Amino acid sequence: MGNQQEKSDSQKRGWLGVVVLLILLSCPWYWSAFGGAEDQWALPGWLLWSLGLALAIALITAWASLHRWHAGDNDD
Amino acid sequence: MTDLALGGGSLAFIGLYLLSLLGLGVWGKKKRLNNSLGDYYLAGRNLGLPVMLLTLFATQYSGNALFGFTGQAYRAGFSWIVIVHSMIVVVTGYLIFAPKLQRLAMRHRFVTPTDYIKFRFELPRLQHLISICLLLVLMNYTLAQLKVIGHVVEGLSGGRIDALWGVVTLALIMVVYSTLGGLRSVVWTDVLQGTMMLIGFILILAIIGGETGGFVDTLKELKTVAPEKTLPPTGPQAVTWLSTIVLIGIGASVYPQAIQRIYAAKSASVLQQSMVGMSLMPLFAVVVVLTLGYLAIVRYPGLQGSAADQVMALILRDTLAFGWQGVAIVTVMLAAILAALMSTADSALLSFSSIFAKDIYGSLIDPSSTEERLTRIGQRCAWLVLAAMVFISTREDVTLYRLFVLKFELLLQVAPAFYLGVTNGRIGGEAIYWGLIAGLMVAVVGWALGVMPLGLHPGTLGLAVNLFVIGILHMTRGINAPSAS
Repeated sequence: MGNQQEKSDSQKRGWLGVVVLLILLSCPWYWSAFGGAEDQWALPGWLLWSLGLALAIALITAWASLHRWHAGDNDD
Repeated sequence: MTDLALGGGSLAFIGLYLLSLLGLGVWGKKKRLNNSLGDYYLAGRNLGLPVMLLTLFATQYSGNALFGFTGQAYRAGFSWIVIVHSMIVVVTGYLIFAPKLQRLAMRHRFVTPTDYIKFRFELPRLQHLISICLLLVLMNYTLAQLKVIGHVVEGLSGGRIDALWGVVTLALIMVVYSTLGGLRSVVWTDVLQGTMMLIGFILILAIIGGETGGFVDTLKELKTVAPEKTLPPTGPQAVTWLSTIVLIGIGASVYPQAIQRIYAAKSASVLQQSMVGMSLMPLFAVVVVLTLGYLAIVRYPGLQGSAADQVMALILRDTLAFGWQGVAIVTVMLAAILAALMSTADSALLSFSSIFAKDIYGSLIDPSSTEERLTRIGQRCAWLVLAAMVFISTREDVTLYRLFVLKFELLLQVAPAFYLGVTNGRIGGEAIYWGLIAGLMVAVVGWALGVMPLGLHPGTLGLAVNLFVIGILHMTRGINAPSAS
């Protein structure tokens, strides 16, 4: 039981860590370092990049809601 | 709101729609099993998946989303895309505390958000302070919806119906059906509203996209019309971006009415599957709303300040030019907009009445009250509060986004009680209480002064102070605090 709880806690920390990282990356203040990439697209490249990260956050959150749910059943 | 002056057929449709809401009130009353708080305020804790998903959707996407988000997209440009991330993060936030909270609510029969605080921290002054914060937030929320209702009705009638009478009539319909059926009626109005909104958005996007020669070309034109609105955030704007995600993502996850829907879920798996839908919803709903705001920059240049909140109305006005299809789309959209506003306001009102009845009246004024009596007190409270809000709604003059932000400034300070309470069994009530006091002081003073130090919203700064105080007190005195969790 203890190992299962530890595994579940570790999974929680894992997906939350990934989401936080993606949130930090989602604000492309660093975009100018890539210089002019937006001209190749109908929409600015930074916007597409940020929306792509939003999609990733949404998919990871959806996945976590399916997998994380019963983790921690014993913690209350 | 820009005058739309719809014809008799459209007004009849909207009238029928409003009557159907009263019908849902009567239906909800018939379905009531008893006069208990759980049955009235949580629909007997029996919400299934489709209803749960649509009511959560309707709760989070309100008049603010339709008018405030499009207006802010118009004002801020592409950098307001951060609202997509924020609305997704709301669901991420739910996942941190909602699963356990739902199990606890089912086991201990919680009705209000404060029931959890009482159970977890056993500190009456914390419980009461959180109740007051939530009541203030809910009043703000109701007020914001009523303000928009006034504008919509005035525009819808071409100025023939005064905003005040529009608000009074619709508020009356709202309070009648929510008094009759409680949450049962409210969630079914949410189902109607959510469905119509989704259909309306698809239709309006298609027709406007066709007329302007496609979104992509229009958005390309935006680079010429307003190039400053296409730039990525830099410096302090980047801080504000992250602050917005924290403010809305964490703040909206502790909406009292959303927490009560978590309590009302039929089972853990219903809530789980609803969260999957909710996490993907912003990629459609918010992106559509923002796209309308961006198209409007090209089509209606020069709108300043709160005038930008009229963008949705301008788009609807122009859609009327598309013959009977345009009229049909605008009619559906307006009915959906009214329903969005009303169902959001009634959710807030219902939540307000439950918190007042159970946590204020039942706790401080007459602790010996039966559940039947508390339910009746809550119903009366809803009528009184709505009357007061209708009165105030005709006198306030704040842009929608400012009202929207004020709500989150307060909610964000309450969030640690739920997040830390659920995830950390060792955090004591004293630490949460003093953290809340410190956070509220910073957030409210910052909001009143209208300052954003380092690009941070006052609420986010307040949360940082809040968590700092909690951390210090937890380490120095609260580490062995008793926990009911």
